[in-house]
Amino acid sequence: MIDLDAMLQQKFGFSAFRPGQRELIEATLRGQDALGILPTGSGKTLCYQLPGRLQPGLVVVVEPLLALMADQVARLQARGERRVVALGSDLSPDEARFVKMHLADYRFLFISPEMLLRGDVQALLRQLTISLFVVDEAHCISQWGPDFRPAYLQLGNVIHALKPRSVLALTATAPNRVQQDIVNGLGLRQPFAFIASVDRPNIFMGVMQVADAQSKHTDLLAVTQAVQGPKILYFDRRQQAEEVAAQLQEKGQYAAFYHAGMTASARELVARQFMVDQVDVICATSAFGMGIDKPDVRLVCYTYLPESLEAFTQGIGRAGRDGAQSAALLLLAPADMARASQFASTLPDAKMIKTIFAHPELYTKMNDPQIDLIEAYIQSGFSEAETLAKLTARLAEKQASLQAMVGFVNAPGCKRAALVAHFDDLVPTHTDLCCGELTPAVIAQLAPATAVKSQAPQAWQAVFKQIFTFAN
Amino acid sequence: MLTALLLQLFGDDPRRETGVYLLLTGKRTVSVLYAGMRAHILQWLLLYPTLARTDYQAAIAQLIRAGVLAKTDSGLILTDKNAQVRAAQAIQLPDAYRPWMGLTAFDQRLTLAVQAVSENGAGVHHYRPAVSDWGVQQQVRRWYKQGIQPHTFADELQSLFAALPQAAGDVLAAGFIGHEFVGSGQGDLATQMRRTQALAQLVTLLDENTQKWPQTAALWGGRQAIFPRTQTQIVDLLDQGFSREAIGQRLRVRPSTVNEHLLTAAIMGQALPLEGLFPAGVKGAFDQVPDAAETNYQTILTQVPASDFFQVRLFQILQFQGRWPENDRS
Repeated sequence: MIDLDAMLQQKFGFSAFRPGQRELIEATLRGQDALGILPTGSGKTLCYQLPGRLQPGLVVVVEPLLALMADQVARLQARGERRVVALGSDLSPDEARFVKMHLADYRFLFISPEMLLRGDVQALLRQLTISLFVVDEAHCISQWGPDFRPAYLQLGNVIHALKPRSVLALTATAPNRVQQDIVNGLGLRQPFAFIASVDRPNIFMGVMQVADAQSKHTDLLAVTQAVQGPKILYFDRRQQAEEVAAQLQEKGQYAAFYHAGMTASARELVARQFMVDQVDVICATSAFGMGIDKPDVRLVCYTYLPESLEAFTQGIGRAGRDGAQSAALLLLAPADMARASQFASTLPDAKMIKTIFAHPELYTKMNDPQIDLIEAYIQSGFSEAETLAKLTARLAEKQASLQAMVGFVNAPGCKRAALVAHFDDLVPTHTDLCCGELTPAVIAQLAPATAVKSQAPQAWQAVFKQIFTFAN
Repeated sequence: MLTALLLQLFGDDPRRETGVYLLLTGKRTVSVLYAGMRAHILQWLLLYPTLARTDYQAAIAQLIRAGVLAKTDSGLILTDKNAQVRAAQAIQLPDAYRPWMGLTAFDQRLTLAVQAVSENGAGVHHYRPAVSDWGVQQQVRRWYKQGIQPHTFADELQSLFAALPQAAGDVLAAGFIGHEFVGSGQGDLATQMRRTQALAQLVTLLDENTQKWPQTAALWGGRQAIFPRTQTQIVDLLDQGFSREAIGQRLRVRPSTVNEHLLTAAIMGQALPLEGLFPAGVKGAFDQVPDAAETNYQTILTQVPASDFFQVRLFQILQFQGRWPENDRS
């Protein structure tokens, strides 16, 4: 019998499993399929990292985004795992060829669902022993969900063809019907299921609707300055993120911005500055978050209406991972509702679908979300008619997601109860530190935070002294 | 900030909005390069490969709304020179930059190499890599395996930085990640351009003297080919006396592809043997064109009816660059 506790300590440096981890790991080790619904930051990745180190064969991990793949690979590398690779569309043809030729040398393979649908990739994988097939962000399979990804619908067939020893589906949030979609869509065989609560009792759930954009801006700056410790402010526009970061800097805050328009190097640098407390306010778009496992974030604030309760729950889950009292805030002005509604009604129409289906090769890498969505359907083997039907249904789902979000904002009574009810979870008891306005009295009860560390030196000579200590 | 950068790429002559975008992001077609050459902005080819089209379009729309750019039938023109001067003060174009430097990839390799040397020098072998790109990781791994010693590399980099202006060294070091160290660099566009300028200055030093800084020069990898190998092959065959048709047959490429590559090579300043491209009579006719600076190719085609589009465009390129053999004009 394997001593999992010893392995956990020895290979990962943790003294105890978090809720659900041991049960899910044990299920996969005995060859049983499993479904894990674990909140963001609760250690989902360990559920396949540890079995991957214990069993012979390849662990295939399906991820919906290149950035997620890169983050997971980097995490494993940070733990000393060298036999890990991501087979994504960002590799050059030569690099992809090399990886495919050497698949047997790896222990962990991260791959997008679209890449996995390719015949040549499946043919190579069929020659290998797959100890564990992991579907991360498994809720993407559900057309009921806001993050639906067409290629996920085909994963059941892939699993059937590859015959892995066991399948592990992981996600942070999934109401009952999405859970059913995952189990049926992936063809999980009598899966063991661990369903954790989405509720995070140590996060105060602030919701404030103010009169206008100016009041919102004033309140945002005031709250940011009042809350001590690391904070993440989310914006739906890059320019706003940059402007607020600059204003906070002028007020003496250690603030930075983060969005997908920055170079990869700049994003990495800013994320690390936040992790090591050189920066304590990040003004970001939704691009910020992956790989950010900072325990002591004291405030996560949304300055716009997120597209879904799933996205909102995932975002605010970055607060208070150390279990200490922290806060989330949804700060809205009337125009935010209209803007969100406009986004929710935006999906490609029949004409656009027809145009792109006629010449899909002309529209790749257009950096347009609508075109990319159609391309995703094409890559996943859907016909033009099927795509139109699915996108029509999708529009209704997007609007339903928004309605759920609006319902949460306008819910009378306890906001936390409204949130957990959406995920078919048990409704908790309302307390003084549960939800409502993020007042100075609430802020005073947030946990103390780490002070901002001294900044790195400016002169390169001083930097060299710090980074090349061996040369001094 | 993006508006300040973009405003510097427009002038009195009309420039196509899309052409400027494609140049910045590295689209290397003859039309993009030719327009870039005529607008004197060819140097900025590939300067901003990650620029999103939506961000670009939004910034251009903002400049038009502000009244500093105006739309004409043939493109956008600058309407406020003072605004351009202010833009240049807000964000400086990196004048040391050249497209062949391959700075985007080198930046990543340098960042990861510095981290690897810093961590390994401190005895740490497991760390989260600063660059997640698999290809870059493999390149740095291969570089490291060539026998890089942390001390030697640190000394070499120090000597290289000492040869740079202080500000350039500072901005590069602010982007480093090392053992228990995270640089203080920021992510704004002005910093990005200052970093590009500093990297370009560093690469200029490496390019001038690879022997002096061999480990960093190996990490850089030399001048990057920004055009496909076929282009070199075509130019080589032309130098050997093959005709355009024969080159196409020999390399099994279409005549239009041969022409595209030759025009591209000319735009980028390569010397082509003109005698193989212009029969004496045609050459003489081009010498007699009344307005050699004529930009409309159809006008010239009418004046030199024995020529084709390729020859007219090549004539225009060489005229513009001052490389058309003027002494033959009489």
